[in-house]
Amino acid sequence: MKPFIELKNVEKSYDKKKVLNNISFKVNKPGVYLIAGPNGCGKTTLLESMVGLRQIDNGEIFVSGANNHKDLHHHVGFLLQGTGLRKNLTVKEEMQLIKDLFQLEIDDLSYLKSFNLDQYYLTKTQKLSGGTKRRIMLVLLFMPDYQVLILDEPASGLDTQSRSIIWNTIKKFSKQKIIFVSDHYLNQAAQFCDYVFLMNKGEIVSSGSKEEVLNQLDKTHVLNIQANEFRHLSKSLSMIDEHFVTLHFDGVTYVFIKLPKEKNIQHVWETISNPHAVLDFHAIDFEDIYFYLTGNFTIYDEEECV
Amino acid sequence: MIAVKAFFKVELKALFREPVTIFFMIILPIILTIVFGSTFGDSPIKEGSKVLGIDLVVPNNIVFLLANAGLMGIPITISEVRSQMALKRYFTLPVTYLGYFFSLGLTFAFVSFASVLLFGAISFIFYDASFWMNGANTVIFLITCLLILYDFFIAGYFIAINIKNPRTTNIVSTISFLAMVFTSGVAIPLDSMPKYLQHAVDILPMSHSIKILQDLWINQIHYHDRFGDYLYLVLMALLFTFLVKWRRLRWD
Repeated sequence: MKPFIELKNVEKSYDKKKVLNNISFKVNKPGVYLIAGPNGCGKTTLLESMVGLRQIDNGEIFVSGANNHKDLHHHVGFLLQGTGLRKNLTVKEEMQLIKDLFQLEIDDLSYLKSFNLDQYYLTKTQKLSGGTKRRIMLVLLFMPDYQVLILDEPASGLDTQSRSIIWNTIKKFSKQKIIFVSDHYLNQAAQFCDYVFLMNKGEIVSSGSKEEVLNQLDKTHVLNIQANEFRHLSKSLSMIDEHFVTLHFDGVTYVFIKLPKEKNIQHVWETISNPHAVLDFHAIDFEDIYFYLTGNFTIYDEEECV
Repeated sequence: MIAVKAFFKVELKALFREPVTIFFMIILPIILTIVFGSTFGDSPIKEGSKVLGIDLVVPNNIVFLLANAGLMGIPITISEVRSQMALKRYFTLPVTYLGYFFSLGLTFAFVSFASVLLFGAISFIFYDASFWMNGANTVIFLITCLLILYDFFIAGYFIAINIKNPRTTNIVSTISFLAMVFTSGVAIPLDSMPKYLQHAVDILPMSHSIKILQDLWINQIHYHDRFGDYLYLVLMALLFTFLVKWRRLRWD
């Protein structure tokens, strides 16, 4: 099957700074594809390049088998980070623009009702809250039958309830569509995603299904320990996992361990000589994986710590 | 064409909700018609002439309106749409770059046309303006209006391309427009200006536009006298087309 979206060795620089470096991937199955990484890692540039808002320096972007697609904006919808709504137009008028552009026959009110947004139909967009504006933008984006949707931080800066509503809406539509989503709240975003691309400094450092990404590091838990206490705990940590991995950041040592299946958390607390030095202890998550892949890490050397 | 029509509707609605734009494009030309019409509208332009002062107000107002739409309306609208991130969003919808700006220009042209009908009707009904043009001059008048429209609209687009900040755009647009208004004879008669200033104002397009349209409107155009003015407008259109061709407007 031909991939619906394919990127081949995409590169982009601003002045002399490379922001996308050799990005390649193919996607053809419906689902939510998370593009994650910190601010400035190249997520937005990548997404904007995919929708033709930015010209790439090298490489190719194919949509439905063709690059330089003249009908790109009929196939691929884009949600930008800001709202992009005209402040003196109503929701009704914003909907009418989409209906006119795509020649759609939609009953506005019942469509909005399905998203619980019908009460805003005649409201000028400048009077809407930030969360509602984002929801309206998303609703507008779902109106045409785009095959691919690219959402740049759709839930960024919103309260928990709005984030949850937006993510649930995205998940609902992902059964028939390819949806790329960028976010820097990795763990929450990952809950709703099927596939993850982790980016750092313009490169994809890891990609795969959620399970593949989580399992690529042969560790199960992470302990955050005060850096000055780490040396005292290293012996007991090696009793739990002799190949534990550490990563030092901002006065804290992050210890990645593999807890054997037959051992539970209680075993860790009993083994560690000074549990008060442990600031946090949790099952490994996507942010830990990201941190592990992109931060400075050292494989524990027993002799060095003795 | 579908996209142009869709954006024309959107821009028209947005424009009619901007009180400042409505003031400059609809109300002010009416005020100018009433003020000038009442002051010298019924006086012949020369002794023994049947052409009245109001007959010069109509072409003056048309140029005023087109200059306002182009130099202020277009750059300020583009700047606002850009600051609301809507321009960026529009470029992800199925509309071409040219298609969107054509629809924006069409919107301002349409409102200008509606405004001309309004103050034109007032001039004819209340101040006894006359329609002097013959058929050929009427056609040339309309074509010249399109040339003037293009000149001012592309100059406005040039401002929008080169200035990203909405506040600066507003200041530059307003200064450009007012500089032309005060040096074109619309606000202060050219004859009352010092001679050197009368020559200096020829640098700006508004006085050239007014000279041509006034002569056409009263059916007294001598093309050898107005050749320089036409040449100026054509060269300006070519120059600005060249200047904007190599630089696309950025959406951010």
